[in-house]
Amino acid sequence: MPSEVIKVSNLTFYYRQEEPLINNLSFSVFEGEFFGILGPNGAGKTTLLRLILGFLKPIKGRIELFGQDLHTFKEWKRVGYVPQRFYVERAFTGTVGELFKAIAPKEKVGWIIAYLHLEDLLKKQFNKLSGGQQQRVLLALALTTNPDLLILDEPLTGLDIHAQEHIENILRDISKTKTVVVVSHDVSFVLRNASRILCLGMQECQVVKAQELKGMLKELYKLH
Amino acid sequence: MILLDYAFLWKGILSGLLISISTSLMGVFLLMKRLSLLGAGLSHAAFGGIALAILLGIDPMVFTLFYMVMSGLTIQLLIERKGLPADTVISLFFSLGVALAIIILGITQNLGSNIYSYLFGSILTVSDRELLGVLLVSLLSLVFVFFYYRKLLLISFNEEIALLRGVKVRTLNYLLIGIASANIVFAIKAVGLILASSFIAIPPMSALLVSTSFLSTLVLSVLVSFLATLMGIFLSLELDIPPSGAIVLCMVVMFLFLAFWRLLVNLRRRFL
Repeated sequence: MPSEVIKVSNLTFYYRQEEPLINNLSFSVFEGEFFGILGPNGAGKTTLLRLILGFLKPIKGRIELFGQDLHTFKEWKRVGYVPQRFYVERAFTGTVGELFKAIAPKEKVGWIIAYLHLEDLLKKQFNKLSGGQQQRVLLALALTTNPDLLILDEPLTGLDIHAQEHIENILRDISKTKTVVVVSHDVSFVLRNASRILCLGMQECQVVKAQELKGMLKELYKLH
Repeated sequence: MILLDYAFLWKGILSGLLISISTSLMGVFLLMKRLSLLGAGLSHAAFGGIALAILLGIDPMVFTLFYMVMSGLTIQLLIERKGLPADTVISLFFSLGVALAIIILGITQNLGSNIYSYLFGSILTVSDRELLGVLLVSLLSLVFVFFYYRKLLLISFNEEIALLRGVKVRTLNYLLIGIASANIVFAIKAVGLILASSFIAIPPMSALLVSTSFLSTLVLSVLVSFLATLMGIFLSLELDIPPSGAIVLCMVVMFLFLAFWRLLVNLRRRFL
C-alpha cells in the first residue's frame, strides 16, 4: 500500500466560532495520487490548502505531511505550491528571470525552464504575461525544488480553452512522478484527472472515487 | 551659486540626497505591498510625537524616531495579527497623531514657531547630529536591501510562496516597516511632515510607469528621487523659494514627464 503523503485527522477550523468552515474532517492523500478537492464557493477549499501548508493553524485536529506532524515538519522543499494567480501582487514589476534567480540558483532551475519552455519569457515582466503563461511560470516556480507533492489552487481559472488544455497536459505529465493535489471549480477537469476527490461543503464531507462523483454533484452544488 | 561656499548648505544637500535615496528604495517595497499610505500616515502621526517631545522638553529627533518606529511596528502588528485593512490602521495612527498635536498646541504657548519647521521642513538647517542620523538610517536601508534583495523580491511577489521557500516573511516585514518609519523621520526634516510622504510614494510610482524589471524599478525610483531633490534644492537657492515645495514639485514634474513618455511609447506601439 502506498504511503500517506498527507494525513488530516479530525480537523476543525473556523474564522468565527458560530460558523465552522471545516468540521471534524479526516482524509488521506496517498503517494502518486492525483487528488481533487471540489466544492461550492465558501466551502473552505482554499482554507484547507492553507491549513495543510501551515499558513493557518487548525482550531482542532492534526495534519501530517510525509508522516511528520505539521508542527515539526521541516522538509518544505518536498512541497510545491501554486497559488491562485490572482493573488500575485498587481504592482509587482519583476521579470520571470528575476523570480527564478530569487528562488533558486541558475543550475537548479535550468531543467524546469526547459521542461515548461519558458526560455522566451525570462526577460518579460510577470504581470505583463498572458494568463496561461503566468500559470506556467507559477507551476515552474513550484517545481524548482523538484518536490514530491504538488499542491495547486484553481490552476485553470480565468484561462482560455487552449491554455487550459496546455496546463492540464502538463499536470497530467507531472502526476506520473509526483503526488498532485488540486483545488478546482472545474468539475470536468477534476473528473478527467483525479483518482479520488474530496467533496467539501456537503452535509458530510467525504472522499469518493471519480466515477462515484457524478451522482453526487447535485447535492454538492445544491442544484435543484 | 556663491551660496554653495557655505558648509551648512552642503550638509543640507548631502542629507537631502541621502534621504532621497533610502526613502525611494523603501518606497518601492511599500508600494508593492500596497502600503504607500504608510508615509502619509506615519508622517502625520509624527506630528503628535514631535509636539509631545517639545512639550516634555525631550530631544525631538530621538523621541520622534522612537515614536515613529514603534508606531510603524504596531501598524504592521495590527495588520498581520488582527487582519485589519492597512489603510484603516494607518488612518487611525494618522488621526491619533494630529489630534494629539492639536491638543498640545491648544494648551501650550510658544510652541507654534518650533512646530512650524517640522510642518514645512528645513533641509538647509540640518545639524551635525541630524546629518549623522540621516547617514546611519540611509546606510541601514541600503544594507538591508542589499542583503535581503532576493527575499524582499519574493515577498513583493507573493508572501505564501516566499514562506514556503523558507523566507522569514514576518521578520522581514517588521524590519522593512521599522526601517521605513525611521526614514520618514528624516524625510520630515527635509520637506516637512505634510510633504514627507511624497518621498515614499512619488518616486516609486514614477519608476513603475517605465520600469521593465524589479531592479530597474529600484534604480529608477532612486534616480527620480535623487534628481528631484538636487533640482529642488538648487531651484530653491536660485529662486529663493522654500526647498520643501521645490523638491516635491520637481518630483511631480518628473512623474508627469514619465507618464507622458509612457503614453507616447504606448501610442507608438499601437500605431506604428
